[in-house]
Amino acid sequence: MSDPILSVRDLSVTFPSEYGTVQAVQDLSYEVHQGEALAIVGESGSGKSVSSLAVMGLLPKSASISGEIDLMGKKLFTMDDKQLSTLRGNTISMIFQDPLSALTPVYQIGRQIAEVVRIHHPSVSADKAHRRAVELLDAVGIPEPQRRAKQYPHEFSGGMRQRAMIAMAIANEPELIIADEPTTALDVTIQAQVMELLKSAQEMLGAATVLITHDMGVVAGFADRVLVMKEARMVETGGVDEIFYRPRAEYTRSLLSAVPRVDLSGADETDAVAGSAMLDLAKIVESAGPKAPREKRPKVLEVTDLHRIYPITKGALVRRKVGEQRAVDGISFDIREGECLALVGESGCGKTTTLMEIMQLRAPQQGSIKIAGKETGNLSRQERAAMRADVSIVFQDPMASLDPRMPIADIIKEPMRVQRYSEKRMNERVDWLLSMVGLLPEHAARFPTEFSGGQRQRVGVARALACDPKLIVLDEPTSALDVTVQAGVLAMLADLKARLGVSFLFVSHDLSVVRHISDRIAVMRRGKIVELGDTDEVFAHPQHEYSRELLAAVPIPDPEKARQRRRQVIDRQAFEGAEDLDADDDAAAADPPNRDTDGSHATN
Amino acid sequence: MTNPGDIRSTADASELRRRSDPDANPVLGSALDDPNLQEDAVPAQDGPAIESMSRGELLRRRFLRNRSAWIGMIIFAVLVLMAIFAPMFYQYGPFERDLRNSLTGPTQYHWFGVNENGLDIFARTMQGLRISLVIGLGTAVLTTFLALIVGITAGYIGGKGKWGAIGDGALVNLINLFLVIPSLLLLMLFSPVLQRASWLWMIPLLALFAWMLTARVLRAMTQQLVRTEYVEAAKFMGVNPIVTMVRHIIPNIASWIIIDTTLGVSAAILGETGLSFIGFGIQYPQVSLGTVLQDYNISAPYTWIPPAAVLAALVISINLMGEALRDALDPTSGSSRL
Repeated sequence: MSDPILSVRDLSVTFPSEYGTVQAVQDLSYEVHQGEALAIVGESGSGKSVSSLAVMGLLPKSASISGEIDLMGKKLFTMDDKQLSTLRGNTISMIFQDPLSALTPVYQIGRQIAEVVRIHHPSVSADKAHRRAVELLDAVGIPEPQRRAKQYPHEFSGGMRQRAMIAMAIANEPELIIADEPTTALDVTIQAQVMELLKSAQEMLGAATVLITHDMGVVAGFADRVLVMKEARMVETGGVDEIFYRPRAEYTRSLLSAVPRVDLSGADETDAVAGSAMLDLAKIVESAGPKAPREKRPKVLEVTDLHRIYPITKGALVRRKVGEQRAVDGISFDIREGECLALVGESGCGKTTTLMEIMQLRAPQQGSIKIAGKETGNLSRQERAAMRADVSIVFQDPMASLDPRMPIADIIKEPMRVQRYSEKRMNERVDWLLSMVGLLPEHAARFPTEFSGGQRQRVGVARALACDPKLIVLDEPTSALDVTVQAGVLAMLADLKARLGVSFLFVSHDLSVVRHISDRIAVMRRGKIVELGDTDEVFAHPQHEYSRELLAAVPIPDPEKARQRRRQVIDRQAFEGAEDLDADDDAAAADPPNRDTDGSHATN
Repeated sequence: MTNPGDIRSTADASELRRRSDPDANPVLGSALDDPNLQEDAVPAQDGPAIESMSRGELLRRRFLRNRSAWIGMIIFAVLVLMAIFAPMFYQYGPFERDLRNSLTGPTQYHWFGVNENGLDIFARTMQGLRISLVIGLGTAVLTTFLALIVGITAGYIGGKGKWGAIGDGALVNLINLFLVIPSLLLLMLFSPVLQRASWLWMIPLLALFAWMLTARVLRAMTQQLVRTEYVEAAKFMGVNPIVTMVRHIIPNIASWIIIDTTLGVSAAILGETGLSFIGFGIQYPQVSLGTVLQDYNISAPYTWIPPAAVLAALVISINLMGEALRDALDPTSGSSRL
């Protein structure tokens, strides 16, 4: 085996803080070889991002670092910023999490890519660099690369921006690519494409890759080796099959078992650890199965032919309507008592607009919304206020949905106060609600910042339950949480549904999350429901093409299955252009360190 | 922190705190039947190590770590104590004439000297300091109050349908109107008239022309808060808008309001002394630092250096405290580093 491209030994990073020194990374050691993909997996705050920023030399000045980082025989800690700059973008390149903030909004995409080329190859003419940029855009699968290169980042969608970032990262054929949560901000179908692209690009370049992610599904399809981190330390490292099928550490096992799987229903047997906890969740759901057949139970929510159309206007003084955005375009569904309907779709499909229309309790633009048999359109003020008790909402971000200045007892009491509960009854209910969602009544006096994300989401659920609602609307309740916490919150929701008989409208972009908790699924796309049916039915035999596409794109935390699904998207031709660049470069006697592309291919 | 994905939000301080103590925080949250996998039991009440630092405590620490905060507080405290107690025991009053000693420098009887009208400068400076402090503090509080009402109302109703937008527009135009009218001229016009009733009229008069910029900022901050999920949640619970404003919006912008009020005190003092200096501010039966300065004699520095120095010390000390507060609240400022 060749020498490692990157070797990290005993890396420790600490930050000073108000509470004393914080260990962000502790004694981390790993090696990445040529052509190898290492995935660093861990939950938020485990130090995975900090470790890779240390490799790039991008940590803030207040951080103190010890240990050794070798990049192809060079000690990174002995180099100053200027020397590091020649490496960044050329030998190491990084793909960041948020493609919107990683691209400069005021420059054309093509120029930004050309810039990366020209910084490290000053002899390349602007024209040539631009041509190379177009080539690269083509290589990463952006249609009409000529025209697109002249566009600005805001004209690109999220997925295309991330493609452009990848184009930038591979522009100089780096030896090492670090991808920090490259697909977290993207929709699942786009995520699948971007990960495929990244994999192909990596294979094509023979570069070593470090993928930092929290998503086990992504890891299974991408990595050769996996390193699991927890609380600044390495827990376990090994080959991808070893980690997924025979994890040694307890933490790895629990991390894997909490991953929801789209490809398994309760009955399937598998040798993979991944998803086993979620299967238990499915059992909770099934054991509490419906008491009466669906048709006999009363309808809690009935939405018929709901429309929400936003006019697109032009002109400042005199507004002309130039078009319309059909955010919700004639959807109909109903939810029966004790049922969970999942509304699934990618970002921008109208899920949230639908929720807001329901939560407003006002007459929609067109169509009707009936809650517990009553039209929301013709309610009096008192009736509407009373109905607020019947429908409640749990928001996506548990950090943002609780007022940081209120103790959680007051947060939970707020809806009850509106419904004029007596003080004594409120206090009793707060205790009961807190224990219901798995918190202790003693916590009532604490502030939201004292709780972790999962606990805060539980407080959010407690608040939603406060007035005995008939329907709880859940707006992506787990998408901001770590997987293990997510599994806990989902289990709690399933349990609540079984015990209290509330109905859920569960909005999510993630099919694997809703698989185990929902009774019925509605797949939404561009304001329309394209498929609506029983969960098992939809998963087993998706009728609509879009549902099939969505299902196929969900990453499966099972390396064996993930490999079967992989396809090639990138074409080899586009990479041959890079050879000419190097030829020019050598001719101009520029001295980029270690740029013997041919040699490195030979050692492979 | 450079990477937003690494530490998520405002709560990062307490997050960091918890993470730094691995025993106290088993990350695992799978709340399924396996007892090993229970979501991290919330740290018990008696664990002092895990008790996260409250926002107030954090603020206090950062504020007190700042040296200029200490300097500002000490100077300000000394000046306030002097303003309260000095006129009580000093033997001369602000209007007692000692014409025999007129235009003499500091002596052991007249600490800062005597001006050409035979008035004791120390007595007048201390009396002026009293008045200027009262007017400065009063104006700042009243300004903030006006700005709070207009700013929050405009910010809150702005997003509420067609009528809300009209109301918001009207308030914004009111702010703009007050910004363009020549406030100095109006102050010079009204101040002498109102002075006849009481010197305290100075406070509402100064406040009336000082609230606009604060109101604009408060409006923008409210607009931001109205879009947060917890305000939205309150709306979906049917909480009364006024209750929402008092309970959710004001506490969350309170820290900014405090800073602005602090810095507003020095601005109000400067406004009042300036007006008094040109003769349109505080009138005869009262003195302010501005009127003391008005009696300057350029060839006798002791007639104007002491009141000017006291005024400068007052304004600088307030600004030092205000800046230190701002630094303490701003997580990106230097004071968050250790």
